[in-house]
Amino acid sequence: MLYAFIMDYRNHTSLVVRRCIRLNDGTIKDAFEVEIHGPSRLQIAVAVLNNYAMKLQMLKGSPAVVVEAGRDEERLFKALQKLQELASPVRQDADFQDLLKNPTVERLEAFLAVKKLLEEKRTS
Amino acid sequence: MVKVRFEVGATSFWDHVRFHLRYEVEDGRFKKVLRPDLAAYIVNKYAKQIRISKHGYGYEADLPQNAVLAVEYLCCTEKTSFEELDEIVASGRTRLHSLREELGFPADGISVQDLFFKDVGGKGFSLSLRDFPKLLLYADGGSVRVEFNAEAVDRKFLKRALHGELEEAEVKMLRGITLLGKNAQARHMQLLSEGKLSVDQVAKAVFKSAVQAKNKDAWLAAADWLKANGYSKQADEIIARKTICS
Repeated sequence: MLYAFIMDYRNHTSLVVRRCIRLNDGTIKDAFEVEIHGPSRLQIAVAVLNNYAMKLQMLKGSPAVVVEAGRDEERLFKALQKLQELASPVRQDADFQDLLKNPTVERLEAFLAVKKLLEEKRTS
Repeated sequence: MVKVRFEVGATSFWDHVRFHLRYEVEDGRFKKVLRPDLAAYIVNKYAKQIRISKHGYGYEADLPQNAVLAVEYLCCTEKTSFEELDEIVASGRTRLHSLREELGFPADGISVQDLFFKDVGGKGFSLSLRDFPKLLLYADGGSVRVEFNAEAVDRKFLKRALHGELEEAEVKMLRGITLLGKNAQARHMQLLSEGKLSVDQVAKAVFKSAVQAKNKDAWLAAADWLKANGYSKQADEIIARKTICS
């Protein structure tokens, strides 16, 4: 299950995406979490997540949405992790605008691959 | 369908942060949802689409007009249930709408917030609905106040009280009831509204309440009421007992 919730604390707002795994005994375990912050990254993450059906839910007292990503769940979560791991800031260039026009996981992965290559090229 | 926006708010105390859901009442003005679990139930059941808002500060949903009414209702009260909310969505009216109409006041076109926070009446007695289903009947700027449950009291009696149509004996009894404890108030209000109460019974209850009272103002007010209504003997007894004992 993929939960997305907003952490709003003083001047700091970020989107937290948490991947929970259902164990054999039926209990749910918080497995992985990624905190997405920065306006561009936040915009991309919100656009990609909004492609899926959602349900509003209280997660340990905090308002959250359950993202019904189905088969894409793992892939989507990994892509969001990679998005946050990018070392350089995400510029709002033509690629960024293109991605926002059609924000699918596939296009996000392609976007991240290009950014990663550029980063590696810059450091080498 | 109406586009509804929710925001996530936070309150913090030392290192403890608590998050809550807020509903956008007007453009840029948010109100805390008192029962977010029930709001989630309404949104998940009736929303066409739920989204994270564009810049990630909250959530958005497209809701039918009646479901919006249910969410607004949740911003004003936490004493509600799944069944009541489903009824609101089905009918487009809350229990407060029907209560106001039964009491002879218009309810259509009034916002849910006004239904809760604008008191009704004014001719003699006024009624506060802010803790609905618990009601507060008051007079003389709040110095006379009786609390009771909305379901326990006859609506016709309340209507007469709010329109200044009560008989003199009923007003006397009502003022006597205000001197009682909370449970006794509720019990006697029910009897009064059903026409099963006499001034003698109220005097007995006021006397009993005054004997048990520790606060000087409370027993002095009770003695005043007893004296004003022809029970001077009981009033004197209270004053004597309390003066000797204290």
